[in-house]
Amino acid sequence: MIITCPDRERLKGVLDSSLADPDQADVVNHLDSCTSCQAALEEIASSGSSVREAARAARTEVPPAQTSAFWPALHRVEREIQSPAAAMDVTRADPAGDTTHIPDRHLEFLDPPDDPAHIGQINRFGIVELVGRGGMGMVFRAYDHCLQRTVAVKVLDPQYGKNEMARTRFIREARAAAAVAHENVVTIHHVECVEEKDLSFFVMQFVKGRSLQDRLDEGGPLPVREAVRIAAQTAGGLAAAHENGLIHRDIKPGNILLEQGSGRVLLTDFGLARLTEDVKLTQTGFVAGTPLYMSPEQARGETVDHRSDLFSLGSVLYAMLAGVPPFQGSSPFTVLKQVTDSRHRPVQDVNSAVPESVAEIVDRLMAKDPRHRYADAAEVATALNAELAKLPPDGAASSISRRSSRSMPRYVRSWWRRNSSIGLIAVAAALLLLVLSEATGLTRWTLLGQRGRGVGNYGGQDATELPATPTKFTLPAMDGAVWAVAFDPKGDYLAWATEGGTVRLWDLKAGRIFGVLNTAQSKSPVWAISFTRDGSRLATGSDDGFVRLWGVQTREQVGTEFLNPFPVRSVAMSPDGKKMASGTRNGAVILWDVERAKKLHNTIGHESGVVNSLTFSPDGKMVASAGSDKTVRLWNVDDGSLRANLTGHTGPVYAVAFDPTSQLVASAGWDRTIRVWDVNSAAERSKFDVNRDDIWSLAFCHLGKHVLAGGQDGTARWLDIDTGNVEYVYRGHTGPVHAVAVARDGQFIATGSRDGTVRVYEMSKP
Amino acid sequence: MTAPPLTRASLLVRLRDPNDGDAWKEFVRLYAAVIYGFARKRGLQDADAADLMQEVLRSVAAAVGRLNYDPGKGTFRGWLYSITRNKIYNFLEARARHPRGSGDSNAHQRLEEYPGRESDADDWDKEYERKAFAWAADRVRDEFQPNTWQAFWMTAVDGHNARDVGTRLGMSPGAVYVAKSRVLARLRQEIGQLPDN
Repeated sequence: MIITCPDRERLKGVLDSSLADPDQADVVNHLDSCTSCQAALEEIASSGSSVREAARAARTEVPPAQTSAFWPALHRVEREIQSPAAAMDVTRADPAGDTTHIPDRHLEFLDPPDDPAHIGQINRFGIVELVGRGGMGMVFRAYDHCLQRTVAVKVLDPQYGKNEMARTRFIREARAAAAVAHENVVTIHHVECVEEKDLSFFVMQFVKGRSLQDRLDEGGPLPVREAVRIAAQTAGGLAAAHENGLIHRDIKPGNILLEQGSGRVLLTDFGLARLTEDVKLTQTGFVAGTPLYMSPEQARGETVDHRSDLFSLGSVLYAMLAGVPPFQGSSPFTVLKQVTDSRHRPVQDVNSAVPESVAEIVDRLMAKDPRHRYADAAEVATALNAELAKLPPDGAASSISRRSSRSMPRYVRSWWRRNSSIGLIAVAAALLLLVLSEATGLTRWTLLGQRGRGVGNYGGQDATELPATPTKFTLPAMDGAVWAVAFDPKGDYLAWATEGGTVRLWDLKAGRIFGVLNTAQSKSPVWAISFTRDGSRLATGSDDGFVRLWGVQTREQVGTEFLNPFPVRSVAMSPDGKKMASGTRNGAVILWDVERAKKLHNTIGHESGVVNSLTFSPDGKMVASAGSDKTVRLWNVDDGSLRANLTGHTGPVYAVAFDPTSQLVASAGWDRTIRVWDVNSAAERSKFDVNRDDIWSLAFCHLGKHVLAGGQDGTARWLDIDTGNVEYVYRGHTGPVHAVAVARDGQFIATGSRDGTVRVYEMSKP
Repeated sequence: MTAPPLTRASLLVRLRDPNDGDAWKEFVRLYAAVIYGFARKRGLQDADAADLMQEVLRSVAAAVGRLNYDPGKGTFRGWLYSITRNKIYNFLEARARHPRGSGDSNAHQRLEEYPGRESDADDWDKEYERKAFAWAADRVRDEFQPNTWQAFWMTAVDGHNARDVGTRLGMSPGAVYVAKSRVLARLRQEIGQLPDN
């Protein structure tokens, strides 16, 4: 023990471990009690920086929730940075156009920006970013400094700008388009030619959203009602343009924009196709571009009138309903040949969910002879809006229309009856129990026209075409997002945990709240819960780094807390209740001896990222962990050794589950795939692409034949792991489904969502 | 330590090269967190804040590649701030203009309440410092023994006193102070390699 304080140099020596051992020990001993040296040491360590203040603030600092849109956005950015040429400069370009990287010198027509946030300047417009590139030029998002608003600026490719005739026509067409004022037509604000720079551009309304082409690129047909709605609004916009004597000439999915949020349809690029044709014809003698939606008269190079646009609209409607354009071929020439000579395949042959009356509209629009089409776009809009009024909301579309044209097959009828009665019970139960019920559940059911057609093909279809099951209970929002749900193994209770840190227990038989765990002192988000197999205890893992054990009957904490070095994201109890696994935000997996509240092994885990999900194998020998590092890992419980590292996911893995035999593991996550792995060979057995969005949660059914996957799209899907068929879709949530659970006897399933509610569905027995 | 920390100069050079993905990756998580956190504090919803973060980073990447960013004119942090601020303002402005599509009736109010230059910049700095701390903590944590890290975290972050923490972890109070200070020093060093620090 030294009485005199060590000098600054020796304190520094302690920090960088450069002191000799005995000296170091002396200083450390001295620090036990000398407050001024304690302060001096910290002072040296932070050396005038704000690191200590930042550390104190970190106590309240929470990273974006695991389910935040932040993470996928970050991954997109990271991906783009890895391949900057592919994504950074050219985003979502017109698929018919040239999407290759534009070297900077091609942006040389831009003036230097006034604002450092902009990439350049054209007159009073600050150019923010390039958002697309078509055959004709580039589209930028820009800011109008004068009118203080965001606009889209379309710059005519300089090769056209130099062409006198093209430029004149460009101005004339754009002026004509500017005269059209309709809610389904993109408004053109301003047209201008800067002669000295051979620069022609026009300024139009900026539409935040994406094109119908982007939507179709996701694969599969659109729900019938959505397709009809988009076509009806497109027809409305066309009618307004035709009244102004303007023909579009290039109606295609890439020119139909869908506004984000409202879903409003906006038609863009009026009359511009003609310009491209003129220029390309004079240059090459051949019409380039996509002929997929062209009318026969256009394909033959004849004079066209407004009815040519109607044919193209019919082709677009066809593509939305069928998931593929009406005419396809290996080259533009073969497509042109088909457009002029062949009749399209009936749309109902491709998608049996399309009602007869809608198919008739498609056929009439796509008549080879313009005289056999509708007289004008207004008439088409009227016909489509009439269809829209007849069609039930999305999801019920196929059933109603099929019944009107054909009698229901027997198995469908029995399915309908069976589920109708469940629905009535659900309504009665909801009224009795005074819980908020899914009232629209009844109207959301759909029937499947031809189940089993194309095995494993459901991933390609929209989920709304599949049968949904009515909700039995909806347990209302109380405390923010629901991060975890679990059934107790006896089937008496359902537990769920929330962002607000509360854990509630629901009595399934009585249909009421059984109790709330006394989490008052912690109040930090609870990410994970796990029952012991005898159902007497429940483990909770929370953001404050603690795993706590609770008595289910008493709802009070039992035993010691398990302190983890970082916030806990996942928890699993072993089947025998003697061991527990916890996973943290920084990748650690810790196996605990529950009774002694001690770690069984040194910390194991993933090198980086969050351990999003953990589970014990039913035989108790393994733990599976799912990490943000894109891997699933299998650990031997006995010695904590790594048994297998399952790689293949292309993004963070959010969920992992064992089948009842401990032979298979299922995993899913950011890359939207569900993968099933063979435990013994550590090989990927199958991979399913059945969700169009991130998958947040997985559970195996009690028989091991199906998995339930909860996703960003607010649904949970019941998937046969042998065939890949999605057999049921559970819906009703208005936010992502973060948690799913299947009761041990398979009678109920539960889903928990960011919308703050938990839904319980009763499984229909086969 | 796995790799020597990059020097500030070389990082700036590398940041300018849009094809040097690694320089970006070093920092993109930090910048993403700062931009997102700041946007949330300005009232943007999760999805909008994430979109905005993506937009800012895209335009930063594009501008860095075009050499529009001139270190002589100001700090990188300040430049990032001006881009983020503009985009947030534009976003709120667009919202206020089209409340129907977004269903956001508060947008007008938030636009009017948009803080004046000074307090806004202060908030940005605060957000930056906090996120830089979290970013650095993630990066250096594995360099320390778990006990050392916990001693640091429980004292410096959670604010427990060294004696209690020592008892809990089986360390003397002096050892807790040494642990805390060593981590602080390492964090300061890690944060110090960021541009502008």
